[in-house]
Amino acid sequence: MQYKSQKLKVLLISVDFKSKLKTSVVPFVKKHGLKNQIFVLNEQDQQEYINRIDSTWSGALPATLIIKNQTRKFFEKEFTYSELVEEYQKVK
Amino acid sequence: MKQLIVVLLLGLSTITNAQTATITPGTKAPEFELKNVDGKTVSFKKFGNVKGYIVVFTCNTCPYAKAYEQRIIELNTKYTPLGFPVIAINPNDPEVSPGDSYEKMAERAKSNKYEFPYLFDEGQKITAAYGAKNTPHIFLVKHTKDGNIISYTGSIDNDPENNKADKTNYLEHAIAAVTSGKDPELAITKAIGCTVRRKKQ
Repeated sequence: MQYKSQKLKVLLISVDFKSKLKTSVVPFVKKHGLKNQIFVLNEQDQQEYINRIDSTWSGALPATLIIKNQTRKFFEKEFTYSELVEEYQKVK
Repeated sequence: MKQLIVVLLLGLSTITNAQTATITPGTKAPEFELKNVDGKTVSFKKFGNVKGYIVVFTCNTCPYAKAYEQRIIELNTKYTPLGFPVIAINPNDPEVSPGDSYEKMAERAKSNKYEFPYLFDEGQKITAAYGAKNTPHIFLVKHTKDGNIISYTGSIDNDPENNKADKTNYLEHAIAAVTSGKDPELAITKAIGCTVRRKKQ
């Protein structure tokens, strides 16, 4: 909400199992009142999609990708809100 | 027009940061002496005459670790008689992840009938020595005359949800190669899982 005027979009991608969509993902989204666009990953081969997202990603969750114009910055770590805002603001 | 997208890849648990490089196949497996859930200390030496070890960093709390738990139990049943016993190590800091305390580990090992060691990594030193990234993270170790050597690192298979008809068992292929005196064709894979839980730096 805070960065809406900057045309920032925060997409959430659940890497939980597809079969857990109704039993885990939907209740989680409701419980936390998430208004983001939320996806559940539907990929066959983790060896392939991990590298497609970022070659430096080990596969550990959570992971964050910031994309702005031609810049992609990838993080394999947990962020506090202020840490995430700081990294976002660094990307020009 | 300025366009910016932030993509967050999430599991349903909260997780913390951790960055040490994963040890590579061909290098020596770091030795350890860690406390098992039965109170006894476990090290490689305690196993006597084996061909190697399936070292798995896993935990009580991660949905991926839970999804693989039964497969880890079955790997131990299948491969202990073939000379590759399972050694499970919990890499998480119980202050950050209370569900991974020594007591909770002992409860889980008992209720789910683990027949392999489930070790508590006090201070997360062995986790750092192996560069374990997440749970579950597999390290296949082969016993040689020159010591214990890492043969394979990564995931057990390419099917976390365990419902693919045509799954590839990376670990079993690696064990078969090592047993026949070869190096695994695929010695490193990536593994989706929950990041090792550490205190914030």
